[in-house]
Amino acid sequence: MGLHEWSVGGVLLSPFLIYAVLALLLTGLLRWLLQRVGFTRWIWHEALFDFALFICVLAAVVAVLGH
Amino acid sequence: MRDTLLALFAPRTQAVQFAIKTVLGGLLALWLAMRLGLEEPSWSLMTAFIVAQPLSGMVVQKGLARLVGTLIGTSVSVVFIALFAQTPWLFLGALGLWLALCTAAATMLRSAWSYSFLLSGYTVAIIALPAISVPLTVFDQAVARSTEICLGIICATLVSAILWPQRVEHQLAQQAQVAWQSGINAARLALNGEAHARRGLLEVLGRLVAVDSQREHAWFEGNRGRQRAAALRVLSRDLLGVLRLARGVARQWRQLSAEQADALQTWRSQVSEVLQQTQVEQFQVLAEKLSKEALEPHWSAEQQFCLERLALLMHRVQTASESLHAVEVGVAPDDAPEPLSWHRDWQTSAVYGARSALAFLSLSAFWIATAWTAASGALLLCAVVCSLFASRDNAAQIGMMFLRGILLAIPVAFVAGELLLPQVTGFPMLCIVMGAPLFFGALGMANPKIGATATSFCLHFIVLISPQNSMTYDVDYFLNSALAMLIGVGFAVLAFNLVTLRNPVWHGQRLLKAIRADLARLTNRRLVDAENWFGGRMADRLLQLARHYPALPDATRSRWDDGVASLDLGDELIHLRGCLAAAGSGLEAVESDFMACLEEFLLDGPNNGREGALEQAGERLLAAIRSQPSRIELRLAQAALLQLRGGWRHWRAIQGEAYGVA
Repeated sequence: MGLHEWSVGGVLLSPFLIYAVLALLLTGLLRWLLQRVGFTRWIWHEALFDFALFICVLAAVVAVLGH
Repeated sequence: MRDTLLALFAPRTQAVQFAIKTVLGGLLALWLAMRLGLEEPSWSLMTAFIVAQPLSGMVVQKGLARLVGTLIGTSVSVVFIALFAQTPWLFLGALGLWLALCTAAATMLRSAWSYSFLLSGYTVAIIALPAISVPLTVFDQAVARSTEICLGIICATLVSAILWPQRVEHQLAQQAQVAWQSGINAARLALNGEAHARRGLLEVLGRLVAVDSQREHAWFEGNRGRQRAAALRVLSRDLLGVLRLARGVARQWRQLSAEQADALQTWRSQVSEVLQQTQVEQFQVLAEKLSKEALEPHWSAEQQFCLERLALLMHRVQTASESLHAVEVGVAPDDAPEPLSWHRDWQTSAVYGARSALAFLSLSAFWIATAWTAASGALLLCAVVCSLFASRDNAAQIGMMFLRGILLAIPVAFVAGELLLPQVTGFPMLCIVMGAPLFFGALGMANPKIGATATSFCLHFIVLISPQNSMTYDVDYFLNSALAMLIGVGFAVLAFNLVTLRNPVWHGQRLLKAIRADLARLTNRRLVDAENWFGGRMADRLLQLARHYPALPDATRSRWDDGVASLDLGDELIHLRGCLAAAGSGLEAVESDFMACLEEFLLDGPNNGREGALEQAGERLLAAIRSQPSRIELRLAQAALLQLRGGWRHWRAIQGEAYGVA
C-alpha cells in the first residue's frame, strides 16, 4: 500500500491515520486473546501495557504495509 | 443507556427548566455577540453553557471564578507571547510549566474557587496557541476572548436569576438539616460504642464536607445567603463538637468497670433516647439533671467524669440545635468561627501538575514534529481536559465520558453545520438548527450520571459549528478539527491512565504524617477556630483513608485505626484546652509548659526520649489542677488530661510499631 495519502471524496487522509486505526483494532483483538488465555493477571500496569502493545502493533503495521 | 433515554425523553420538570434557561441564556449571548460584531461569537455561547448550573448562586460563583481566571490567563498569555514569540520550544515549555502550576494549585484548593486557577491555566493555551503564528495580533485576540467570555457569563447569570430562580440557600437549610440529623445519629452510635460507629462517623464527615462546599455559593445570594453561609460555619463547628464529645464519653466509658458501667447505664440510655427523638427542649433539662447528679457523693471519680461529659454533650447538642435554627432562619451570630479547613496535599498536587505538563509537552512534540495545523486544537483540548479533571478521583472515566460526548457531537455537528446550515439564512433559523441539539444536550447536563458526556457534546457541537456572522463551510477544516479533538482528549485520557497514584502505603503514611504535624500545631492554635480547623482537616483525611481502602485487609485497617487514634488525641487536646480556658485560673504557666512539651513530642516522633519530659509536664499540670478548689471545668480538664495521657501512650505504641517496621 505504501505511504501515500488516501483520497476519500476529495479529502486527503494521511496513511498513518489509517494505520493507527488498524493498529487500534488489532491491539483490541490481541488484548482480547490475551485475556482469554489468562495472561492479563501477569500485567503490572494495565494501561501502560496496553499503550506499549499499541505502539508495537502500530510499528509492525507501518513496517509491513508502509513500503 | 436507560438513564440516557430517561433523561432525554422523560425529563423531570427541573431538568426541562434548566435546559430552557441554559439554551435561552446561550442564544441570548450568541445574538448579542453577533450584533456587537465580536470576532468569534461561539465563545460567548460556549461560556454560557459552561457556567450553566442548576442554582443561581452557583452560576454567579462559577461565572466570577471564570472571569477572574480568564483575566489572569489573558494577561499571562500576552506576556508569554511578548517574551517567547521567536522561540517556540521555550514558549511551549513555559506554557507547560504554567499549566502544571495552575493544575497543582487547583488540586490543592478544596474550594469552588479552584476553578479560577484552572481557567488561568488553560486560558493561556486558548489565547496564545493560535496566536503563536501571528504574534502581533495577540493583544486583539486577548481582548476579543475576554469580551466574548464576559458576555457569556453575564447572559447566563441574568437568565438563571430571572427565569425560575432556584437558590442555593434554600437547599442549604435542607442540607444543614440532613447534616444535623446524621451528626446526631453518629453521636448516638459513638456514645453507645456500636460497631457501625465507623460508618456513622464517615457519613457525618462526608455530609459536613458536602454542605460546606455549598457555603461559598450561598454567599452570592444576597444578605440572607451570606448570613446562612456564616451560620453554617457555626453549625459545622457545633456538630464537630458534638461528635467529639460523644466520642469522648465513649472513651471515658471504656475505662469503667462492668459494675460502674451498669450503674450509669440508665443515664446513658436516657441521653441516647433524647438524642434519638431530638426533643430540643429536653436537652437543657437533661444537661442540668446530669450535672446535678454528678455531684452526688456515691459516684466514683471515673463515673463522675462520665456524667459530667454527658452533661457537657447535652449542652453542646443544645447549642448545635440553636445553630441549626440560625441556619434555617438565616441569622448569623457575630462571632462566627473560621470555615472548615481542609487537608492540603502538595505531593499529589505536584504529581497531577506534572502530569498536565507532561501530556501537554508530549503533544506539543507531536504538533511540532508533524507540523499539522489542526494539532494546536488537540493541544488545547488536552490542556483543558488534563487540568479540568485532574483533581477528580475518577479522572480517566470522566475523560472517557468526555470523549464519548465528542464522538456524539461529530455526526450531529456534521449534519447541522455542513448539511443544514448552508441551506438557511438568518438568526432565527440558526437558533432552530443549533438550539434543538443543544436543548437535548442541556437536558442531559441536568442529569449527574450523563452530565460529563452531555456537557462535552454541547461544547464540541458549538466548536465544530462555530457560528459566525459570515459563515464559511469547509468540510476539510471540519474533519481536521474533529480528528484533533479526538486525539487531544484521547491523549489526556491516556495520561490519566498512565500516571496514577496507586500506592496506598505511601498515601497512608503521608496522611498520618500530616495529621501528626497538625496535632503539634493544635497545641498552640487559637482555640476559637481550632474545632473547624482540626475537624475539617481530619474529616478530609479520614474520608481519604476510608476511600483508599474500601476493602479492609489487616494492614490498612490499622492505618484507619491510627487515623482515629489521632482524632481521639486531637479531640482530647481541644477539650483540655477548652476546659482550662473556661476555668481561667492561674494555670497558664504550667499549661503552656505542658503544651510545649507535647508539641515537641508530637513533632519529633516517639523515639526521641521526649516522652519522659512530657510525662513529667503532665504530672505537674495534673498536680496543679488538683491543687485548685474543685470545679466542674477543672474536673473535666483533669479527665481530659488523663485521657490525653492514655491517648499519647497508645499513640506512641502504634507509632513505635510503625517506626520499628520501617
